[in-house]
Amino acid sequence: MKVILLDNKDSFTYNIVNILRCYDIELDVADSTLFSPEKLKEYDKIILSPGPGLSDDFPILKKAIRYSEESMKPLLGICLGHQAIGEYFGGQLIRMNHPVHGQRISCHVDNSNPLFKEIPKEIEVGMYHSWTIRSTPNKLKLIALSPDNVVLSFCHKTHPIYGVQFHPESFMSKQGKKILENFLSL
Amino acid sequence: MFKEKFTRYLKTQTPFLFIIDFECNSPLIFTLDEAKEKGVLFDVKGLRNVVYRPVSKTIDMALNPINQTEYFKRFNNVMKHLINGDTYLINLTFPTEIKGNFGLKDVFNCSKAPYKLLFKDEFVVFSPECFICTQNQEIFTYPMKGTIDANLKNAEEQLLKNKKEEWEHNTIVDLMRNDLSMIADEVVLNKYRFVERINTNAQDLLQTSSEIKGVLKPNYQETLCDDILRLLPAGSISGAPKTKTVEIIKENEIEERGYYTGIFGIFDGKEIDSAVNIRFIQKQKQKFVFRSGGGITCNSKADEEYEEMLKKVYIPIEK
Repeated sequence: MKVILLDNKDSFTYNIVNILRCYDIELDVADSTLFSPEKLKEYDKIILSPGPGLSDDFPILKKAIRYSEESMKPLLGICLGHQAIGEYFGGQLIRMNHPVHGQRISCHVDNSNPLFKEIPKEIEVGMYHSWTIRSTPNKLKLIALSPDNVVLSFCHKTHPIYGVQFHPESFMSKQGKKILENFLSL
Repeated sequence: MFKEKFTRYLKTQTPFLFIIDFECNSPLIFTLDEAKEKGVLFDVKGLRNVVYRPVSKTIDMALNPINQTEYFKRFNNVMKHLINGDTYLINLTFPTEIKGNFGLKDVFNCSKAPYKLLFKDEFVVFSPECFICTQNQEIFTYPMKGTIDANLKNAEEQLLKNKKEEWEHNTIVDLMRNDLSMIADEVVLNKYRFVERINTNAQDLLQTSSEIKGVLKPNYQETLCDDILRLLPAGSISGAPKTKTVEIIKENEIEERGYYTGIFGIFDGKEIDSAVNIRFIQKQKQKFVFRSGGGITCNSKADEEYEEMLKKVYIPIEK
């Protein structure tokens, strides 16, 4: 299996790599600002990394989501990548009054969903964001929520497209490795 | 030149000293004898190229820092970026002019720190912070974030319970896990937020650090120079995400960092040990400048950060 990890000039990308190295996959990491969308067809799965600023600062993101929608290839967006998915499907991005950089919270997940398979309903996750998707767009299904009702994860109702606002690669997300493993098993 | 020497010395097990600036424009490398000849002295946990006896000296220092209004203006610029999510953590530093009863060499002699470096009559470093060290094919880093006056009531408990400190520490831990993962495999967080005590000329401090470990590749000597350069600037004195954060630092600080917040290290013929160049005094013309700063997050307050920056203008001394 070939996986492409699109790096949005982030400094947590290699925490994702450190986890994915444990699995028997072929992994490429590419600077998302230099990556040509035509190359997406060489891969079986796509991961969009976290990153600074807004998803529109990285035009490749929405092209990758469109490609996944058309090709049915699994795609996982983390933080900025999650926000790109939310916006692509019509969700509204809002700025939080209090950003939550470096915070660990308890989060409620729908473990009947393949992304959270064999994971407890209540998990601790690490967060680094100052923007969120206000409500889950129609084409998507909410699969994780924070105690104060912030959308923390969604998936497409008919396509293997997943977003997590929290950071599975953070040391604070004890189930993060399992979540990435579940994505690889899709 | 630098890379070639670095790799050759590693492979021939020739001990050396290296110093790299924040901007990575002017890396320096010396064998231990060359260093001594050029007036570059070091003492890394007792391994040193100079015979001296650490002396006890009373240090008196008068501070002339950046004025608050100027600091607040720059702090507020940085805060806009934090709120916008351009950066999650940013290290903002400024020079403080100091006047005192000492020269650079006195500071080298009487300061107590695991990593000390005197670079000619230009600057002195007495750093508490390890950048990376190697040990039997493994690489370690010890990000340090969070300090408190040790004399406060329940100081340790207060420090560990402080949410802002915890969030900032978490960010630096994830950043350094990322950085080690760029050059090593099987990266793990070994110890989380352990407390250490530092004696200073003014007060005693407690500080929190973590230990992160990775496994180096069997022939790591071939690539270690490039690997170290890839880790720079160090996460604890830049921030996350690094690329954008360094741009914001350059927009808002007064002068180039230079060797301040760069790194220096020694290879003893077997292993590397290195420090982040913080606790740094440089001679500029005939003046002494102490450079310091702190990590700013979206929860930081300008007046507290200004105080924090000045609190770091101290010299840890033998007691």
